[in-house]
Amino acid sequence: MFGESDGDSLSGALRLGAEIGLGHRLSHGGWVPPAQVLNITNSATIGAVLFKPVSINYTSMATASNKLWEFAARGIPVIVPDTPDFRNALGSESWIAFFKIGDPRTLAAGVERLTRSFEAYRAAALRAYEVVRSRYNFEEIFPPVLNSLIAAARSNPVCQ
Amino acid sequence: MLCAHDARAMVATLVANRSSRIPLIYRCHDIGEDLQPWHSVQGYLERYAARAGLKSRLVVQYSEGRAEHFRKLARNSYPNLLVTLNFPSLMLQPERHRLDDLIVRRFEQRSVTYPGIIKDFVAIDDLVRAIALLPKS
Repeated sequence: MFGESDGDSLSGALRLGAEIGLGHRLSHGGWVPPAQVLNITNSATIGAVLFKPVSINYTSMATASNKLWEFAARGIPVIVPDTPDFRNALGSESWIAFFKIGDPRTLAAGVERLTRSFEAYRAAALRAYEVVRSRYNFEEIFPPVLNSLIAAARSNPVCQ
Repeated sequence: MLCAHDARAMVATLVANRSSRIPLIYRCHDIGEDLQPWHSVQGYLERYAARAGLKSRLVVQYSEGRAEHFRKLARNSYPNLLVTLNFPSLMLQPERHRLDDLIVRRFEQRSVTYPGIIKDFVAIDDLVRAIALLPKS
């Protein structure tokens, strides 16, 4: 785990890990600058997206989450909550596993499915990479925004 | 050109830009809690930013669901709103010939990685308990 915390949630998670005997299998690397996060997470086998659907921000994350698509871009399969938003956007993707919020057995099962063999893992990783390479990338979807930005800039006397 | 990243930045930018009228883009990365009451600061800022966004050149939302929420907040159809999905640049991708080695290494030294904020809206306990159910490999 990396990232900032409200304190209680992190200490609770670490305490839980200690109680169930995870030892060194669970660690928290603290807050790191975004650029370093990408280096650190590049070695991940599976990426985890763990938002509970408690508000509009977290019920509409499938096409908004930085971490989900940054994992995919680098060929890292991802486990995500089984919520309508993620299911609608990613339900047919083989590099995605779903888990039910509040049921860690489904999270473990999702990780095991993605890593059940090297061949299965490699196929999922390559699929994630290719999906971003071919369709789900900034360069593909940005031109309409760029056109609007250019029009806005041209309308500004400072830019003329 | 100015770009505001969330409701608080949008309101601050509107105030700062009142006299200069530099084109403003509202790129709404995170959208606030569901309709907080007007008397809360967050609720006020969200509603104000949503309505004031009509004066910006462009509002960018990352999903249709967020766009609908935004229109509801503003009580407006928002003709200057564009839904653009938050996909990463191809520059983030490793070169294809390096990917095979990365996949081998990732599979040999297995980890489940969560990068991000740890608060009560994150199912971190599910992850911790799931790790205990996975084989030690």
